Amino acid sequence: MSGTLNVTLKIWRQKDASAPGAFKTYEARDVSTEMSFLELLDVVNEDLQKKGEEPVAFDHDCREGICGMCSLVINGRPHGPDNGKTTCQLHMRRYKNGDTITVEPFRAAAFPMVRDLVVDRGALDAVIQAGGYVSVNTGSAPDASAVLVPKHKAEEAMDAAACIGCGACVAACPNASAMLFTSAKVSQLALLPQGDPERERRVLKMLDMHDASGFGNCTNEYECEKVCPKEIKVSHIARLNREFLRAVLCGPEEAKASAG
Amino acid sequence: MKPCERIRKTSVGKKQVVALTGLALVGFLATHLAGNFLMFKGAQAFDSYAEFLEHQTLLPLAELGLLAFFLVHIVWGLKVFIENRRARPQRYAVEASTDAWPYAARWMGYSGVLTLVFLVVHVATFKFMGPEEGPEDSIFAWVMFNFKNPLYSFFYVGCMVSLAIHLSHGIKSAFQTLGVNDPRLTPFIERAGVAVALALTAGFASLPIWALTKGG
Repeated sequence: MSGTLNVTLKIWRQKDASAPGAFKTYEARDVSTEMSFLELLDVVNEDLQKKGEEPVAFDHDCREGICGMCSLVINGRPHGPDNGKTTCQLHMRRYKNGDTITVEPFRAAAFPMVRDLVVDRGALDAVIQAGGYVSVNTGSAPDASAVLVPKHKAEEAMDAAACIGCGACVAACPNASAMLFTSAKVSQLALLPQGDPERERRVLKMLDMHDASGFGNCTNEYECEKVCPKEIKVSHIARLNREFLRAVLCGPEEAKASAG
Repeated sequence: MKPCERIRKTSVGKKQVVALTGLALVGFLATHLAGNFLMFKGAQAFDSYAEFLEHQTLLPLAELGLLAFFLVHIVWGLKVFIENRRARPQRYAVEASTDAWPYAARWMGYSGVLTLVFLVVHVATFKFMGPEEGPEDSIFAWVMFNFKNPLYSFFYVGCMVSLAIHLSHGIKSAFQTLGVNDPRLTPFIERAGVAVALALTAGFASLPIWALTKGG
């Protein structure tokens, strides 16, 4: 059902990391219920520009729910109220006329403030760069029957590979831990034969970078799983924990040395 | 890096040490409770059990081991707790949880510290202050003397409730941290963890309540 509604937005405004931030209230009138949440912010920004004020800075890119660029904590929940959705896929029909919506940036020591609703999520890239790849030569495309992957493992690896690296898990975690993100990549590659040769080194290096980036420790509260737009399961964190134990207790010396 | 150093320095390693020592301490609590239940059999049964324990030559060794488990669990648990506070210096204006009751997990540090306070009082009362300073020369009588003090019993039961909250998250969490997560097994572990937490607490709290109401 299409229509319009009026909402009150409380948006976090902060000039840069060194300036103090505060909420500012904006009234959005005659908002189409067909608008996405990011389109609402576009409209708010157009109004601000007409008035000669600074528009609200926020991250966005594909607006199709697959790139992992949009963020925002909306009324205390990363990516808004719906399960398995990014902010760009949240539509204003989800809200009622007269609602007040509080919009905050992802907050974590590992995500430094850039401006308004934009934080630097580069720490996630650093975790991937530390070991979230396969560097052994896998050659040209092998015969389909030469590299055997059981169906259940292929499916689990695919589930883990669905991570778009948006950082909602970090934003939702009371400890700002990136364990769901880290575990998705560790789990994906540990399940597949191509990832197997480097699995010990990978988990140790990625965890080292995770800890060094200032992310907290996972305390199994599972807030991450429920807000993940790709619905990555915490069973991947359990696999990461097993991979760590395996690497420490029975990993080859060489893997430990190179990770140290 | 040597395995010990690796475990000490990595977030997952620290958590796994806290998980293992925590599960071991749950085992200790279960045996401790079994001994406590002898109080229901009367003064003689309880006193002779206490005497039997005191005459074990390996008792000091067991006590040292227990102390080590407690110390490692407490020190590393607090370390993890403090690191986690630092990881989110600025909190959200709107705090929403997807969980109906997320507090057991959120309060691990606080319920742990309260348990530590309890431990200090508990060990001071029942190990370093003895029946010879109390009214009668019997451990049973000394325990009953303390439990009949409503203030002491209230503190005791309160700490046990806090312990139940601690364990209701701690036990299931330990399994996940050690890598046990299975679609068939995990729901059982989660329920069993809460059941064990409640059973231990009800067991420990039953004694001061019994002492206060029935009078032994």
